[in-house]
Amino acid sequence: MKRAYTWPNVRRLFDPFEAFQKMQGVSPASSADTLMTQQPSPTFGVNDRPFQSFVIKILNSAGTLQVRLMTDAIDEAPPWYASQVLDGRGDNTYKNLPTLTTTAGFNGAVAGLVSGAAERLVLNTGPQPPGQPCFGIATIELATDQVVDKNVGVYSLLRNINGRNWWRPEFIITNELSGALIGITTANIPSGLNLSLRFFGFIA
Amino acid sequence: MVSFRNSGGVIQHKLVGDQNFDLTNPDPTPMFGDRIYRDGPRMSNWANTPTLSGSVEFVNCGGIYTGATDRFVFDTLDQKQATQFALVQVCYYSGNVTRPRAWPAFVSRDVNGRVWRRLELRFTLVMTGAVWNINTTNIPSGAFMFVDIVAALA
Repeated sequence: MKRAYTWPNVRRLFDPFEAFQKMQGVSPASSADTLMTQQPSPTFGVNDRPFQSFVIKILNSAGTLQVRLMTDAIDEAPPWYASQVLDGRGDNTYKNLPTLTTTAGFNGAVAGLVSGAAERLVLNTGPQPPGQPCFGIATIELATDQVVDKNVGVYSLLRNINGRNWWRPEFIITNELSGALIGITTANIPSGLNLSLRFFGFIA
Repeated sequence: MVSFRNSGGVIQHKLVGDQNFDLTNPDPTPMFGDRIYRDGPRMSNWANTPTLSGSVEFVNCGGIYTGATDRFVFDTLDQKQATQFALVQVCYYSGNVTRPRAWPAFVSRDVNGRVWRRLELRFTLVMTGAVWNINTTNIPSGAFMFVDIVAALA
């Protein structure tokens, strides 16, 4: 008599996708998010930097800028390839976009604006190795503001945030034609509208 | 990342990393660029961008191909069509003339006697798709253009 092993039973013994998700601290927030567990884990990288790809979405919610990670500009699920982002990478709720200083940190958000330089968005990561930090490419995946045409670049910069003087990925928004700095402000992202930035690359 | 500037009426370029980046003074240290054919020039500063041909060599890891000033060719090894890929993006442009868009291509060209398939950037106008030339009209004096690149190269 054959034993009736089924694939779901095997998966309950050890589900590598679920294990990886727990390791990341990711908790599916809806039934749609559980689909994420069916995706392969990011096991490849360059020079010990895992592959990362996600969207940072900034929303003007009734006059307050908020931020979260997403799979893409419209997919509500937390991104799968975001293991190196700290605080909230698996949380698909918006957090107020913090203003960062040497004494003010990310406050649970995945990214924040540099105090006095609103064109600079710093990603909340661990310290990147000096000399050969993170690297990648950034694009504007969606911008609904209808205010200004923009470019975005991602750079590795050393910055003291809340007492942690670390190299981190930092996005700089500029005017697509003139190169002038474009602040991430409620004037440039009017109420109800948003800006979605894609990162594609490798982060320690 | 490859950066371009107009220096006194001459287009110059260099490869740069993105560490400690300054929009008006790009750091000269390239990062993860180990697939550029010759290592020597990788750590260089700005150099005049050459017009490449069957008898003109690369400078600073690249050059504009003769008769096609919308195309910047990288000094790579002969690439394999089955495994090549690249993702490129104009991340900064301060020329205030017309909006450039970059896309990658792998093309076999004769550069100084070596007929190899190499990565090259091609530039078009954002709005129309017409060619956008890397010249002193589109990059006026004092202006910059930076193009970010993630690629798998042989």
